Amino acid sequence: MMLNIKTAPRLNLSLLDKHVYMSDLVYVEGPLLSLYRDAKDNWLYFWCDTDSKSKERWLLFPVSREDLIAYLEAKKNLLELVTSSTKRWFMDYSRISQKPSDDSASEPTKSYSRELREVTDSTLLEEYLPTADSYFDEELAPNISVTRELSPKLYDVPIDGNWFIKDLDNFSNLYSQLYAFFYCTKPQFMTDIGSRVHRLLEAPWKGGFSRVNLFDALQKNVPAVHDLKIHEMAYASPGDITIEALESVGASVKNTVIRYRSEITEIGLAVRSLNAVLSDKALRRVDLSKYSDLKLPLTAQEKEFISEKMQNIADSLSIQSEFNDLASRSPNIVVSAKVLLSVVSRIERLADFQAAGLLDLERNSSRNKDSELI
Amino acid sequence: MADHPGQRRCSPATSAGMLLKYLCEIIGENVVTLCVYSPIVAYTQFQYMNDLGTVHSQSLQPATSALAQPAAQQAVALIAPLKYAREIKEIAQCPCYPNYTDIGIGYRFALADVTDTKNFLPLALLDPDRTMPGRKPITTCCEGWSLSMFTTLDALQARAAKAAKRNPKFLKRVGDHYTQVKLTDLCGVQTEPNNSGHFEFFERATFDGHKAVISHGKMAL
Repeated sequence: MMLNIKTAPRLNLSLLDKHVYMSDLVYVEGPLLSLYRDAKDNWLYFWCDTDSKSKERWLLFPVSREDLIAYLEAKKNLLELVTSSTKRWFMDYSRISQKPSDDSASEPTKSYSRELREVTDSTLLEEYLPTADSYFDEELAPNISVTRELSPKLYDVPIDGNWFIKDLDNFSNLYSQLYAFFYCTKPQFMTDIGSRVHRLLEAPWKGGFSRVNLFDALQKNVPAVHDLKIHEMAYASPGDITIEALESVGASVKNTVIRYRSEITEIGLAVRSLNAVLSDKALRRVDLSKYSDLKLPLTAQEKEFISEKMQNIADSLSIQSEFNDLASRSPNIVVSAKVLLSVVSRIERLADFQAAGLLDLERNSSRNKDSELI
Repeated sequence: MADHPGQRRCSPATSAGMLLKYLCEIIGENVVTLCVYSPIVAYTQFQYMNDLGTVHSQSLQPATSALAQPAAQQAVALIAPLKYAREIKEIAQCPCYPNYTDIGIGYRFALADVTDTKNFLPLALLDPDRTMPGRKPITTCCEGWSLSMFTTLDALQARAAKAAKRNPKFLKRVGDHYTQVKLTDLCGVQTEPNNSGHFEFFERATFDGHKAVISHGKMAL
C-alpha cells in the first residue's frame, strides 16, 4: 500500500520535458536519489515508495547551486534540502501490462504511465522524510567523486570594443560549446561523464548535423551546478563579463584561444591537410561510427597521417590530455578527426572575437582569484 | 599472472589446479572459463569456451599430458558459461575484473518468502523497463545482469541501514530479509569486494540461487 496523494493537484507532465538525467547521488540496489537538470536548475529525484508491484513514487524538487554543493560537501543533509525546497512534486511512475490483441501471438507488451502532482500539503511528505543525519555518503554514490573541483567560482572574461546584440549571441553560443567540450573531456565529479561522451561519439557522424547535435548533447551533460551563469556584465572599454562556473574549464577556453592565435599558421596547415584527406576519401558524409580503425577504408599510411595531423593540432593548442580523452572514447580516428575539426572551428570563431578587439583575453582580470563563490 | 579484465584467477597448485593454471596461461587473458568434454581427449586436445559462450579448440602441449588421470578428470569438470552471456555480450568490459567465486559465502537482500523467484533475479530481469527519462536502460548496464551481494551479514545490514536513513521505505523495495548463499567455483564469477564488502556476482547457467541458500532470516536494523 502506498500513501494516497489524490488530493494533491495534478500538474502537466510537459513540466518535465527539459529534465535531463545527470548522475545518481544515492544508489543502493537501484537509484534512490538522482541528480537531474532542466534548462537552468539542478533537480533532485528522491525515491519515496513502491507498491511492490508496478508503481514507484519519486519526489522531485529543485535545489540551488549553494545547497547542492553544501550537500555534496556534507554540510547540509538531505532532510534540509527536501524541507527547504519551495517547489516539490510527486511523480508516480506505473508499469501497465497490455494484453496482446487476439490475433497476435506476441508476448504482452509493457508501457509506463507517469502522473505528476504538486505537494501543497507538507504532511504528505512526513512518512518519506529522510533522517537528520542523511548526509552525502560517497560510498553510496559509485559515480561521484567529491575530491574533484566542485565549487563554481567567479571569473572574468575581459571584453573591449563595440558589441552588437548578435555578437553577444554568437559569443555565448561559441563560449558555451567550448566550455561544454572542455568540461566533458576533463575528470569531473560525475566520474561517468566519459562513458556518456563515448555514447555520443557513437552517433552517426556525417555532415554538419551531428556536429550540432554533439555540442548540444555535450552542453546537456554539464550539470546545472557547473553550467555557465552570467554573474555580472560591465560593458565599458575595457569591460568584463563575470561568469560563475568552473574556473579551470574557463581557463582552458581562454588558453586555447590564445594558443590558437599564436600557432595559427601551424594549426591552419594541419586543419587543411585533415580536411583534404576526409574530402578525398569521401568520408565527410559517411557514417563510420560503428567501425573500428581496422575497418576504415583507409590505408595504414593514411591513418598514420591523420593521427599525426591531429596530434599536431592538439600539441599546438596544448590540449593533449583532452584530445587523448576524446580519442580514447571515439570509435575510430575519423570520428576523432571530425570532432577535433569542429572544436577547432569553434576556437577559430572565438579567436575572431579576439582579433576584432571584442575580447581581450590576455588582459589580467582585477578579480581576486581566491574569491570562491560558494 | 597479472590481473586483466576478463582474466580468470587460477586455482592453487593442486594437480587439477595445475592443469587449470596451465590452461589459463596458454589460453591467455581473454578466456575466463574452460570446458573439456572428455577426460580422455583432454590429454591431447580440448575445447574451451569463454564466459560469453564462444567455443574454441586448442591442443594441449606435451607437458600437460604428464598429469595423472584422476587429476585430469577432476580438472575437466564442465564449467558452464554465464547465465546471461548473450545479454552482456554487447556490454563493454562486462563483467569487469571477474574473479573465481572464492568468496565462499554471499549475503543478499531477500523477501520474506525465501522461495520467491524475485530473490535471485538480476535488476534487468526484475524490472527491465524500470528506468527514468534520460537514464541508461538497466538492461544495457553490466550491473543489471548480476546479483548484488555482500561478504558478511553485518555489511549487508549496514548498507540497508544507510539506505533506510535516506529513504525510509527502502526495505519495501528490496525486502526486509536476507539470504545467506553458498558460492563455489562452479557458481559464477564475482567482482572484487569493495571496502564495504559489496560485490557483484555473475551467475553461471547452472547456478540455482534457491538451492544455494544456506539460511534466510529477517534483518536486524
